[in-house]
Amino acid sequence: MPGWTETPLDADEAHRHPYELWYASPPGAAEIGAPRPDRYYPQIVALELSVSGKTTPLGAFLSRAHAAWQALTRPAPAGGSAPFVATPHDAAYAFAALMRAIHAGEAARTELLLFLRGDLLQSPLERHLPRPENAALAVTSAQILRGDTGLTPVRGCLPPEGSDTALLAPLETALTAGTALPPRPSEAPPVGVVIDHAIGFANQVFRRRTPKTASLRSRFIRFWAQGDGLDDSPGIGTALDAARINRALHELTDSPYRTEADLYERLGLAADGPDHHHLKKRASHGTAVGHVAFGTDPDAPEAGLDGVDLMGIQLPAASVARTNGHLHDLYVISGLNWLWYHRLQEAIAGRPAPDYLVTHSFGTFAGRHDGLDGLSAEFDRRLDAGEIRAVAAAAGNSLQSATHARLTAADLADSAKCDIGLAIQPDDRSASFVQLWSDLAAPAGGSGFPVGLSLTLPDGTRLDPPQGGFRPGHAYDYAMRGQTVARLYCQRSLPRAVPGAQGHERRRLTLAIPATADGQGRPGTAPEGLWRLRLGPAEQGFADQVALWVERGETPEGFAPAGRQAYLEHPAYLRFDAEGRRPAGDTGTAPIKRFGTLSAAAGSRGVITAGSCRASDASVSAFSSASAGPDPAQPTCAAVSEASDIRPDILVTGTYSGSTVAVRGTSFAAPFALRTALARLLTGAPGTPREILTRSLAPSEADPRHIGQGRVPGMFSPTPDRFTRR
Amino acid sequence: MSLNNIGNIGNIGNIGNIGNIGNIGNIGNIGNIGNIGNIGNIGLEAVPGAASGAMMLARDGVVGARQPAAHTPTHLPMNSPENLFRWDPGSRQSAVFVDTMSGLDVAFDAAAETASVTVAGAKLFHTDRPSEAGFTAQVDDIKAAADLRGDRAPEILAQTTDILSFLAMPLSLNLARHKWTIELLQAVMLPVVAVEKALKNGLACRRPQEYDAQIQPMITAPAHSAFPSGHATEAFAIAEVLSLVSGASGDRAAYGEQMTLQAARIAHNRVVAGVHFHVDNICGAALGRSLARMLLHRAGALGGHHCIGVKAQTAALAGAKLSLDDLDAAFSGGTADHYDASEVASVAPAPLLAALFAAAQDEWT
Repeated sequence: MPGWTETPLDADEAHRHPYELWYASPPGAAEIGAPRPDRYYPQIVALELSVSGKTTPLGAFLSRAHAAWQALTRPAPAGGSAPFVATPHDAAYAFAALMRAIHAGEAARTELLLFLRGDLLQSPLERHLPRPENAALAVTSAQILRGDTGLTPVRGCLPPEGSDTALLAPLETALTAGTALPPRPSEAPPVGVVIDHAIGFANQVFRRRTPKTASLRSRFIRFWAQGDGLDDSPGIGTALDAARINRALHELTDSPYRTEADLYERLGLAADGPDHHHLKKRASHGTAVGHVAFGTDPDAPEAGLDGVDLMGIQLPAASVARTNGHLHDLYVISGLNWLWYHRLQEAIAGRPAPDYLVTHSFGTFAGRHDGLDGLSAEFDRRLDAGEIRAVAAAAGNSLQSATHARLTAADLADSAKCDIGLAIQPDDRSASFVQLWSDLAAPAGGSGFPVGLSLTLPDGTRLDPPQGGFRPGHAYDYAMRGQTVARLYCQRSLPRAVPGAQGHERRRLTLAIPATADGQGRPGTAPEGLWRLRLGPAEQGFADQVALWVERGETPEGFAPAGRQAYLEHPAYLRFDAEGRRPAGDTGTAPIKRFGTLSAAAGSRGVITAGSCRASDASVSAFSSASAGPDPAQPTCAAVSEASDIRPDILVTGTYSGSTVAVRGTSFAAPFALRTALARLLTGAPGTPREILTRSLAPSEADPRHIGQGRVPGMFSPTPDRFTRR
Repeated sequence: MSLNNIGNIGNIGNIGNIGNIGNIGNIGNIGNIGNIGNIGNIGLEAVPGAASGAMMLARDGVVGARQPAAHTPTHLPMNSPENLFRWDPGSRQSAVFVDTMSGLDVAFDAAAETASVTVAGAKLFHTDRPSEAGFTAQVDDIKAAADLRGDRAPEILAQTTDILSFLAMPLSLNLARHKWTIELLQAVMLPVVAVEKALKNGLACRRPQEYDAQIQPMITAPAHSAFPSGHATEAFAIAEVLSLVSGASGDRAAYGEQMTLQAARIAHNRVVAGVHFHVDNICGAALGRSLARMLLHRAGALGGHHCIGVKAQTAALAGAKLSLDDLDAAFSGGTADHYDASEVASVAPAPLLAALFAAAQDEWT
C-alpha cells in the first residue's frame, strides 16, 4: 500500500514559505530557474538583539549578523565571493524598525532583507542570533546615508557624496524619538512608481520638455534594474539616477542611427539572448503599464501629468518568468525599502519628500486572501505608516482558469463534490503547487489539517493521508523509482501584523508536484495527466470551509517556454453557458469557483484593486478575477482594458518611442485607475488617492465581487484628443 | 488597362526576354520590368502571329507596283545615351549591363585569404575571409538573436523574396511615377548581384547551421555561401541609390537615414533568422554601398569614392555586429572598427548609366 514518508520540519522551516522550502531542496534534476551560485537571492532574516543603550551601532549589528551567519553555515567555497549582500536601503529600513521597537519598549527584534548567494540557499539557516554583548554607541545616520557600514552597495544606490551633517539632526531626533520615518510634510509632490518587468524608461511618453532648454528630459529621477545583471558584478543590478538617464537620452542625438535599443544596451540593460532581451522586443509589460499609469505625450501633455516625476523598479527577468511568485514579494519589498530610503534622503536634505503612487501589476493565485500575508500585508503596513501614498494592484485574469475550489462542511459530506480532478500538463517544465487552506483559526496544540486529502496519481496509485492526518510542521514525500513525484507541506500560517486588521493563525497544506518534462522536453519526474484530489473526511465538529487554489504556473510570453498552467476539473463545472459564452459567476453544484479567484497580492484594504471592464457596454471582462465576498478583499473598482467585442484590447506604446501595441488585462486596468486618481489629485482633489478614486467611480449593476464600488470612467488612449471614448 | 501585368513593384528581377539574367542571382527582387511590354496581352511584338496572315492579304490589296522610296532617313547618332530611351526595357538593361560591368573584376588570394574587387584595375573593395574560429566566435550571437524570431517573423518571411518594399517605404516607390528610378535600380543591382555572387563563390564560407546543430534556421538557408550577405549587400546598395536619386540630403536627410535603418534591420533579420553571421553583414553592407557609390560616381552623381576594406580577423569578431556609425565613418574616410578606407582615382564615366540616372532624378521634384 503506497504511502507518504513523513519528515519533520525544524522550527525555522515550519514557518518558511513552502515554495522557499521546495526551491531550497528541489527533488530530481535542477529545474528551470534553479538558483545559480553566482547570483544573490532575497531572504528575510529575523534578528533579535539585546541592548541596554538606546541605540546600537549599525555596522556592529550587521557584522554580528554576518559572523553568526558564517559560523552557522557551511564554510564559503575557497576564493568565493561574499556569502550575502545587504543593501544600504534594506539595512537602514531594518535599523529604523529596530529603533522604533526599542523606543516603544518592545523586544529588540527586526527583520532584515538580505540577498543570499545561490549556493547557500540550501543550507539550514539559523534565523535567530545568539545574544551579543552590548556595544558602545556610535550610530550615525551619516553612516546609514553614506553607506559606509561595510555593506556591499547596489551600484548607483549610494546617496550623493558629502551630505551635510547639520541636516542630519532632524533624522537623529526622529530616530531616537522613534517617530514615523520620515515624517510626511504638508507639501509632498506625487511621484509615480512603476514596479514591473521590462520598463522602457527612455520612451518619449516618459519625457517632459524643460522650459529652459526646450529639450526633452526624462521624468524618471531614479531607476533600479534589480536584474540578474549583465556583467560579473555579484550585486543585484544597477541603479541609475536622473543625470545618468538624461545623459543616455542626450546620447541618442549623437547619431541619426542611435536607437533606444542601443541606449538600453549601452546601459547594460538589454542584450540579445534569454533573460536580457526583454527591452529589445516590440512590446514590454513595464513600458505598457507605465504608459497607462503615468505616461503622456511631452508635446501635448495630459492634465499636468508631465510634471510628475517617476521612479522605476525593474524586477529581475528570472523572477518574472516564475509566475508562482516565489521571491517576487521580497524583490518588491526591497524596492519599497529603496523608495523609503530615497524619501529619507530628501527629507534630510530639506527637500519636499515625495508621495509615492505605486503601480504593481503582478499577482499569484494562492495565499491567505485575507490581506495578512505577503505583499498585501506589506502594502497595507506601509500605506498606513505613510511611507507610500497609494498602490494600484491588478485583480487578476484568472476568473475562467478553474484554479480555485471551495467546500463547506455540507459539501464535504457530498461525495460527488469532494472528488476534484487536477490536470497536470504535459511538457510542464516547472513544479506545480496547490494550496489548501482552512479558514478558521487553528486550535491550540498540534492538530493537523482538519480535512483529509487523498491523492490519486494518473496511473491510479492512491495515497491516503497518514494515520492521524497531516501534522503541521511536517513534510510528506512520495517517491517512485527513487524520485519524489509528490510532496506535501503541512504548516500553520501566522498573519502579519497589519494596523486595523485582526487575523488568526490558519492551517495550510501545500502540494508540490515536480516538473513533467525537463529543459529539452524529455519526461520529467512527475507523471502528467489527471491527478485526483479527494477531500475528506472532515474532523469531528467541522464548521469551517476549505479553500483550494492551484498556484499560477505558466511561463509568460516572451520567455523560454517552461511552465504550463495546471487546473482543476469537475463534471459539474460549466466552462461555457448555453450561448457559448463564459459564465461570470458560480453556477450549479461544482466545487470549482469563479468567485474567490482574486489575486493573492490584491487582497488588502488600502490597495486600489482593479478588475477589468469593456468600454463598449461597460460589462465586466470575461477573464477579470473576482473576490469570494465583500470583505476584506473585494476589488475597489474595474477599469477599461478592452474597447469592444471586436477590439478586445487597448492601445498603448510599444517598447520604443513611436510604436503602438494592443494589450489587455487587469495589468492595465489597475494603472488606469491610478492615473485617474492622480489626474484628479493634480487638480487639487482632497483626500487619499484611493478616496479620490472611489468618489469618481460610475455606479454599475455588476456584482461588486467583480467590479467593487464601480467603474472608472473613460478609457486609456495614447492620443486622447483623437480617440475619446465614453 | 492590365496594370496587373506590369509586375509587382517588389519584383524587379527579370530583365525580360534575354535569359532572365536578373533571376540568376536572386537579385533582391527589383521587379518584373520585362513584363511591362505585356500591356493588353500583345507582348513586345505589335503583331500577333494570328494576325500575320490577314496582314499579308491587306498588303497585297494596297501596296501597288514597286517603285523606289522618295526619302532617305537620317542615322541616329552612334553610341548616344539618348538612344537608350527608344528601346524596350529588356534591351535597354542589357546595353547598360555591358556599360556597368566593364572594368569590374573580382580576384582572390587563397594564401592571404582575401578577396578584392577592382574597377579598371584600381582597387575598389577588399575583404579578409574570416577563419573558422572567427565564425565559431559568432555562433553564440546567432543563438542569442534567435529570441527575436517571434517578433521579426513577418518581416523575415516577407524579406525572403522582397526587400525593396521595406527599403522604399519612406519614398513609397510607385511603378507608374518612378519608372526610371526602378530601371536605374535594376541597372545598378545587376552588377552588384554579379559581383556579390562571384565573391560568395570564391570565399566559399559555410552557413551558420553547419557550425552548430542548435541554430535551426527558421527559413531554408539559401544555397550559396554565407559571406558576404546578399541581403545586406543589396539592401545597402538600394538604400544608397534611392537616397541619392531622391535628393535625401540637407533637410531631407531623414529619408536617407530611415532607408539606411531599414537596410540595417533587413540585414539583422537574417541573423535573427539564423542564416547569417553578423560578420556577413559587416562585409555585405560595405560591399553594397561601395559598389553603388562607384556606379553612381560613374553616372556622374558623385564626385568620388573610397576604397573600403573589411577587417575580419578572428580577434575582432566575437560580439562584433554591423554598426551604422562605423560604416559611415569608413565611407567618410575616418577611422572605423571594422573597416579601413583609402582614396581611389576616379573611374571612367558610364554614359548610359548616367543617362538613366538623369532620367530617374527628374522623377524626384
